[in-house]
Amino acid sequence: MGATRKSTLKAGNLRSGAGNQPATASRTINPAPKKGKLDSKTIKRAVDQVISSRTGKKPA
Amino acid sequence: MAARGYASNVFINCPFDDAYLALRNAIVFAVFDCGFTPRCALEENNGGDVRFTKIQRLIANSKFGIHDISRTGPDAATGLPRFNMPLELGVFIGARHFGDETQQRKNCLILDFEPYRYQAFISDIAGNDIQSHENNPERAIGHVRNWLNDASGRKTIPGGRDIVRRYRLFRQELPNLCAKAHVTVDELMYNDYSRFVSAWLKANER
Repeated sequence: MGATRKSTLKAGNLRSGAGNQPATASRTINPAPKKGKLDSKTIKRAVDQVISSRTGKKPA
Repeated sequence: MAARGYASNVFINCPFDDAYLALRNAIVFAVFDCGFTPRCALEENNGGDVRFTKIQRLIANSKFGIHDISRTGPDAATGLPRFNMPLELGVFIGARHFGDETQQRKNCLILDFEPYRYQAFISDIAGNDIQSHENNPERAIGHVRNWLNDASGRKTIPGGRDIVRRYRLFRQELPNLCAKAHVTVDELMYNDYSRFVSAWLKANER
């Protein structure tokens, strides 16, 4: 589990300020997911559902 | 000895800010669709690992590297430019020059948003393959495809237009994919996005 954005915020963690972001809003290397981590089964199921709704074919 | 997957790994050295996200997502898609594996510092979530050690490991384990040096402007907070990406490019070039036989086979693509701009701030890299994406994700896809096609010598890499066509379809379906997985597009972390791309390409094989 990643640490919170605020607590990991160090100069070295910030990749690029892009010149327009306040430091506290910048991305960190390992920001914590807002929701639970997606597992590959969930992703495969989602992909199968969306593709089968487009193609009308059942997933293999 | 080469690390597992070395010849297929593509180290991605690019800005991590939101303004660059559309380009990064397109590059990751293109790398996967060309049959390679993108490797990025964002993929590892180990707070105990020293960041630069992690980056060096990723570079050592990747034959190919994409380095975007477009972020040269001063940071709003500090007034200073950030040098992480040129530094990592230097490590990559250094590995190729000073490394063993495996490392000497490294090959990299350098991206900027404007042609020849690099000559004003990092002229020592003249002679390398430097391409301009003009902040256009589809142009970046074309550059990645053409470079991987030349650098790898593989005969299986699809054309740039076909990758762009598939990328547009993937982008169109991504909100639905996310909805089925109970997440929103803006919540996707790097690894989540990569898994969606990989699974989608696998299910949509040519």
